[in-house]
Amino acid sequence: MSAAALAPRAPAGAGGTFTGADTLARLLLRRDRVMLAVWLLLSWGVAAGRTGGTYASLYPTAAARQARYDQVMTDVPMYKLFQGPAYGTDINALLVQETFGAATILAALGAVVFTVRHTRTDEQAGRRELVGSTAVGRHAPLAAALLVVFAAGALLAVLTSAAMLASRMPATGSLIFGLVVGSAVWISAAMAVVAAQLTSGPRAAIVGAFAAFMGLHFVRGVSDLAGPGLTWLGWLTPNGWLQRTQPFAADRWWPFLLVAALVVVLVRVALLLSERRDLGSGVLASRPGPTTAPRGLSGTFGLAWRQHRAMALAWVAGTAAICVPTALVGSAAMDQYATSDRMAEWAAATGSADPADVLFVYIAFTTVFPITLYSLQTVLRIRAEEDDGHAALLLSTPVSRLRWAAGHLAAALAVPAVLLVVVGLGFALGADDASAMLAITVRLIPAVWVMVGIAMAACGLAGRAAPVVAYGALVVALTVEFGQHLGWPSWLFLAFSPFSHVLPFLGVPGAATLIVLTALAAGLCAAGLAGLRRRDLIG
Amino acid sequence: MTETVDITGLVKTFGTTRALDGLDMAVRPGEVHGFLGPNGAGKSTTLRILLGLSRPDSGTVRLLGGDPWEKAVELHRRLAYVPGDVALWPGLTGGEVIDLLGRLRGGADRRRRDDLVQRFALDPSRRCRTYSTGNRQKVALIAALAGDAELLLLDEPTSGLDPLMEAVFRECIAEERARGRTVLLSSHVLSEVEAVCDRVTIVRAGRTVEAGTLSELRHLTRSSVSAELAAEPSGLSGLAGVDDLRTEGRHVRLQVDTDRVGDVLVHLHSLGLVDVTVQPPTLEELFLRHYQAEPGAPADRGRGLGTAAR
Repeated sequence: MSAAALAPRAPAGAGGTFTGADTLARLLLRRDRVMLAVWLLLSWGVAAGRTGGTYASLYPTAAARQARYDQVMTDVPMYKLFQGPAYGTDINALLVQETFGAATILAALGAVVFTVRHTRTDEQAGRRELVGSTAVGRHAPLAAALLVVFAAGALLAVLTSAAMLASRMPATGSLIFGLVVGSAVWISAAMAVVAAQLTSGPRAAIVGAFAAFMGLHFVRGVSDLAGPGLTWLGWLTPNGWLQRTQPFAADRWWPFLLVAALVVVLVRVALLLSERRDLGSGVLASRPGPTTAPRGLSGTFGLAWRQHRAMALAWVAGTAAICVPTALVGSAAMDQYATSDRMAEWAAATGSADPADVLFVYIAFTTVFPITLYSLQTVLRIRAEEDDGHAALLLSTPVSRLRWAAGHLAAALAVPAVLLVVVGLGFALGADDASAMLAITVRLIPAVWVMVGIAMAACGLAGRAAPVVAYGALVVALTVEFGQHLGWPSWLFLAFSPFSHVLPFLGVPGAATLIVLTALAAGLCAAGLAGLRRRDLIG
Repeated sequence: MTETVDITGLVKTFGTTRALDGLDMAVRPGEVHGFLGPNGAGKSTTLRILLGLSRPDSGTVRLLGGDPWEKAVELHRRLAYVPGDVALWPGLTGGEVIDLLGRLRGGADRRRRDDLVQRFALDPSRRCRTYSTGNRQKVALIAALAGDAELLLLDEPTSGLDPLMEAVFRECIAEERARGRTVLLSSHVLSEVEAVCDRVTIVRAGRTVEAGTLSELRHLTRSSVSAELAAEPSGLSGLAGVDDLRTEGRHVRLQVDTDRVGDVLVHLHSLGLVDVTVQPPTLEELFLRHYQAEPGAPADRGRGLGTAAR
């Protein structure tokens, strides 16, 4: 891959602490060339895939472009929130408005996973120790990971700009948008390298860094949605800087100076933290704990709670942190949309009179997907515990497989229910009818449970393939959801996504629907548990 | 007498690999039983079947008189297990894991637990992610020894321990035996097995090749004899059981089946014995003899014993 040509270069004048970084960078490329290539191609596809006239054909006339602009700016608030505002009626400006969110987030996801994988994961697995014993500088592994990921970001920027220039888009805007996508890689990699110093577990570092990037994107959305009064809030986030370069509109270069400064500061902080801690430990989680177990840690449920507690509480806090401010800002912001026909139509479908409620219902519905993802992770702990060897030790005690699995399953069923109640209560603060808002989010719970049931059935019946089956089911559900917007037949959506049956915009789901979904989830869980009892333990 | 562990003709396959190929083993109540075999011989697979984590393809397995798969939970009240590769929950401290496992097994003696923590010099306040291999092994060992289990299943429990801690471990096993516990100890450390085990089972490629007490096993192999004689030796090569005879003047070295040592000594005595050393086979020699043989080749004289000793 051509990133290889850019990457293996030690930082000039860095002295002995970076010795060997170039060799290590080549090792990283060798280990992850497939993952890097797939991620770059996907990000490039999302960032520049629609430049070749396919997008322009959607809005062939000036009137169509004006209509799209109005839709973003005055009709449908979700666009500003999730994608960002449009800065002009020019076709290229409209295109980058649509691609900005998805392209930066996908670029960030790959960068975070790659960076943590080659810093904290290696350290956790003991590989860093082996490397550290050879003639490499103290910071070489960190520098190598950053070199490769920064080079990958540069490559992505070049490819994106090149695709735009090849489609005869204006040069300045093309270069700026390329830099925007590249900057997303650089910023998120720098965040990840700091997170990798703070926590001692790779999972926490990945989730932490990516959630930070997503969260900042969302803060920017709230700022854009709220209008001029809150514009300053967007300037506090790097995502806001990237968006306000306004490619193909104002074409600003100077926000990239902020990006460069932030990246330098974050990397500097990571290096300082790395110097201050021992290999294998984190800055945050190195303190000793109790010498005896507290009373609560006495059974499989106590243990499951201990394992899921930190992540569950973080999700509750994160959900509240997103929903409460959105509810408080959203209500006033939605006044701008009071006359939108589209919003009035949706409000009628959900049984609400207030367009602000439509925004909240929409956001609440979109939270179902990350919440489901988290629930699947929680169920799949059953498989992870087998692989780690924890299950063998636990099951050598008088603990039945049913009780062992039930601890994790209970967490996977209870926490999403709590989260959706939190979403409902959060938006109830801004909604006209608080109890109706809560009722809407509570009705989403059985759909999540069906997905949990699929994951549980996979753990019991599919063995090693369980994660593929479980995540695959979510991908299928998301695909038919998007397919719905592309005009796919609706039976596909209804057959392959439990969410289709609780989607508020298709009318309020009845009690029978909810009971059937819950029963289906219970049946899947029972099948999974029965399969788990019958098969050999893996590991 | 009901055996604590009674395995006959155990077979377990993984795809095309035959991990266990008709394994036999009998562990008697109150004994410390060594379970020896090269890497990949099927020791851990056997233990996983005994724990009800895997189901055998064929053969019979009885553990404490019950079926280990059907009655897993009941039987686990009466045993404690230390896995070969101890994996602990990274966020819990060592002390928390010891207490958790103790509680799951139905309560542990607090005084004994604290005593063991001290004897094994474990810092129970550290998170498990910060423990070395040896320290993780200590956590699992303390949890197993602090309880009231009738049977201890130990899968290479000392592979990460330093010599000092190994000595503590041997003391503990001796104490367990004195308390009437049964121990099944899978191990690679032959000196340890020689020091603590009453009987051993040696497996290779999923089959039992030797089983019995150490002295029974020694009888089946050759001792080495080295003697200084008053006159040139004669007639030695005609004696039954003698092999690998080498003479240098009046000095003789030979290998002899352990149950024929007496005959050889009588003959040497008749030749005028000046000095003699008889060395019984070490476990290591026993072990190497089986390991170096081609898999599938008959394990010469040991073969019949596998069943005879039971």
